[in-house]
Amino acid sequence: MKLERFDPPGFLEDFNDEQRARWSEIISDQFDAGVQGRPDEFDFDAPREQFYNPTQVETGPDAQSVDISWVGFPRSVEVTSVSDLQRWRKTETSRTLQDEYCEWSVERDPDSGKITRVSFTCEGPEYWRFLAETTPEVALDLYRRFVNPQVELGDLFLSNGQYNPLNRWNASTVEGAMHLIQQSNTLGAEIELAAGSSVVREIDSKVLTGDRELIECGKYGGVERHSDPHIGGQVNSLTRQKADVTLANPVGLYFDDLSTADWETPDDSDPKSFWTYVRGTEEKPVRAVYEVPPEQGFVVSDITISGRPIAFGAQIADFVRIKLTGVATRFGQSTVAPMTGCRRDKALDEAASLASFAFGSALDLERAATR
Amino acid sequence: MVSREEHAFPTRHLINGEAHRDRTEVESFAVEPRLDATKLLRYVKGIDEFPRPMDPSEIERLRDPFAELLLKRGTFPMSLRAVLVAFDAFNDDPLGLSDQESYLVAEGGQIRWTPETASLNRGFRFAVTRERGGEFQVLISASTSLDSESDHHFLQVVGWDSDNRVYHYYERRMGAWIWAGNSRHALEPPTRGNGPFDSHVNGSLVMKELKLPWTHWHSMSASIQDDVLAPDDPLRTEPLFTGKKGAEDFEKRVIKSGITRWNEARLDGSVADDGTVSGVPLLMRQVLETTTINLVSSDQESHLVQEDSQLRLPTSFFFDRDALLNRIDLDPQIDPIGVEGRLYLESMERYDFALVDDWGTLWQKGDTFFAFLVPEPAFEDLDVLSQLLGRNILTARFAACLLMVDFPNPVFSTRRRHLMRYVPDQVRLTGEGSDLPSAMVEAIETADPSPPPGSPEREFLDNWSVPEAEWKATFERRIEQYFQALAAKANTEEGFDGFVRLADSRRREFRASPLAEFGLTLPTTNIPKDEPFLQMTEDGTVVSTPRRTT
Repeated sequence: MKLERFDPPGFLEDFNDEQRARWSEIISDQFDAGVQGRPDEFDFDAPREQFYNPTQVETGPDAQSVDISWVGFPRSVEVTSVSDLQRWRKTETSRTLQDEYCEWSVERDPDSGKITRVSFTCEGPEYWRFLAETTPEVALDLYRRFVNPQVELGDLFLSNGQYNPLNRWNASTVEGAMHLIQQSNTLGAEIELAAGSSVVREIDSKVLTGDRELIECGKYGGVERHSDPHIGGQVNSLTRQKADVTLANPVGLYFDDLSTADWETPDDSDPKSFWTYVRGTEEKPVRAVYEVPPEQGFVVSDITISGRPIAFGAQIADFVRIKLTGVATRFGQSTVAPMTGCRRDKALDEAASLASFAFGSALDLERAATR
Repeated sequence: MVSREEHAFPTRHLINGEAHRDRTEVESFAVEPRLDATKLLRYVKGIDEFPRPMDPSEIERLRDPFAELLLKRGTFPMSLRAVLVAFDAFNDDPLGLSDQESYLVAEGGQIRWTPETASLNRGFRFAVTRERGGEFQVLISASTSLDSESDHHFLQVVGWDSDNRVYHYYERRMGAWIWAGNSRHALEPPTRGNGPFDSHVNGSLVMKELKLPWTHWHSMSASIQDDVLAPDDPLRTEPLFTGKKGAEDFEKRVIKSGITRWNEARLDGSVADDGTVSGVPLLMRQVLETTTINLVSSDQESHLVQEDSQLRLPTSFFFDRDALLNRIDLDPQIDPIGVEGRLYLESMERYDFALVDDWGTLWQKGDTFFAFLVPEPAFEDLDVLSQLLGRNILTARFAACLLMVDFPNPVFSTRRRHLMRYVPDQVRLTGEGSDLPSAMVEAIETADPSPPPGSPEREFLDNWSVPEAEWKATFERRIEQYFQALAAKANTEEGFDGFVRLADSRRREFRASPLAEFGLTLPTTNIPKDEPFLQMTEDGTVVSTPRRTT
């Protein structure tokens, strides 16, 4: 059956009926754009015939939902750092480094410097732009509830009346994180990622299967992230089974879990009990807070992870998992032929593009007895 | 053609302690000797000559959930599936372990199934955890032949005994369940190094490829997908396979916390109420020696490295960054060492890198899926260091002075191991810490008040003589200078060639350990197996290791 409409991420209830209808249209348009790709600008980009808009195309009775999850701490920082201290410190210099669809802001006690609260968000900026520009007072109320009671309407908007996602209360790692702002952390990127990675690619008679070779060839996301190559690889593994794929309703990024193994609290209370989802449903949470209630008599920085006190929100992000949910249907039925080239800018010539994607000799399987 | 289910997978047997390598032996489905399936047996290698039935008092002392829920009640499930079903029967019981997660590792897990690769033994095995909220209680390690009751497909269980604070090790073998010992048997003769403790060296859990990118494991860095299975392989629809979680979860949720749990128990048992710490050498060998290793690689896939790209090498190949930076909190201003892809690709050609299985069949030219896989200091050793620091048995300064001896060689350092002779049997906790530093310094100075230049003793005493206010900056500067030298060497043909040969040398040392179970774990090269072992120097040059002595 066809999906009647796309719901807001996390089944949030900030919208009125009119906004709900319009939001569904916005997401539906994004899906249509994802299906079409950008054939005018790129070769081997489209069509994406195994990706579909579930409000336009039936989802079959054999549909399977697949949760795809990854760690919230940015891989791009981890692999370019030599120590934990270096990577934690680096990640909290700027939200632009928090590129795993998980961003956070840290509040500290001004006297002791200890962390009192860490707020995590995985809400896409599109939702907030739409909400703020259609019902500014609702957006303001949410900012005041979840970020700071001192937020004023004028803080959120530019002089031309447009919502400013990089407003003071959402632009840093210390003054608040209402929604995602890192340039790649968008719902549009999520949809394009699912759409682009749905293309099965066969290069030089070899079907690509590896997460990173697929993203390097399909260019549908950031290769240095945990998330994009992994999501793309999982989606592509479904389309290689000749299934059609889409994203589950409501489309969004969600918190999957927080693992607190080897965390210790001063009073032996359960460290996971201080992790609270404050927006979205239990199954589809989009905002989480790590904070110890005052009556407990200690704060976040008094908790240790592997013996080390929590001095950075990034230490918590190491244990946060983010997820999205894909849907696959009509297994074994797709007749779409694999694409035989890698996505390339039409302005580049073919030779240059192919040269940019190396297929090492390691892909050539050989079997020969050596002893 | 040999299917996945037909592949024998005995791995480390707890009884004879030797991995089978003879193909005809392990793959001929000969009649297996059988033991009494209705009794729990014990065979603690080093103590027991043969498997024998456990007596009631011995069984009573087993307090882990595998014993409590199943074995003590006369339930002896003989296959992986039967074990899981037997646990499921207690899901509604307050003592039951209703939460289950599965993980998958396979050295051939990135080699796609084709008719040509159908016979490859990819080494699939599951790790399955059972718990009820909180920390895991039972870890089952098994081949992917879920219904097999044969010794050709191994089935082992590790259960956490929260009363005795040890792991118990069990194996189904010869048609019976056998208790092979507990964590404490790992620590001292005659059981140290025997049975399961040839690889669970310090009594704890093993996940060799523990860190990002978790080479060989299904993870968010590299999925093990169903196209490595034959088209008709039933594993494709097996929930343990389709619902498997990533190694990143296994690392943090199970292995690291599981290792810490046992080390805490050990340390608690070592410290008496009066502050006496006993068994100090058993602890300090995990600081000064390489009791076991983990494997770590570049985060980059070898087959995607191009001539004009940069390959990031694992930092812990060059020094023990986890101990010195992540535990002792030195903070040198250094960056990961990168090399030109061209040099890496040329080295693979020059040394004929290949993936070769236990029977000598070459399956793939080139490096492992993730490039530059090498031994690094083991987390279980690092965790002991953390606990010694956390309990003030070691100070950060003293630990740094020890670990900065021969620091360019984070594993297999004979120079640091040499210092073990100065470790006292017991020490006392004092108000400020323990008397371990003063006891060791005194022992070294007593042995030779002026040790010769270049000796480990001299190097340690030089480190120790750096004033309290300066040691961090001094050691950070040495590491920064070392990394400057490494960076300069890394992009020269001769310099990187040294790194490649050193990596091969360390792999050869690892291959000599029982933990090296599978040929496909590491790449092979054309460097002769009897080449002298190599070591790194502080100027970034690789040289031959002097003859090993203790």
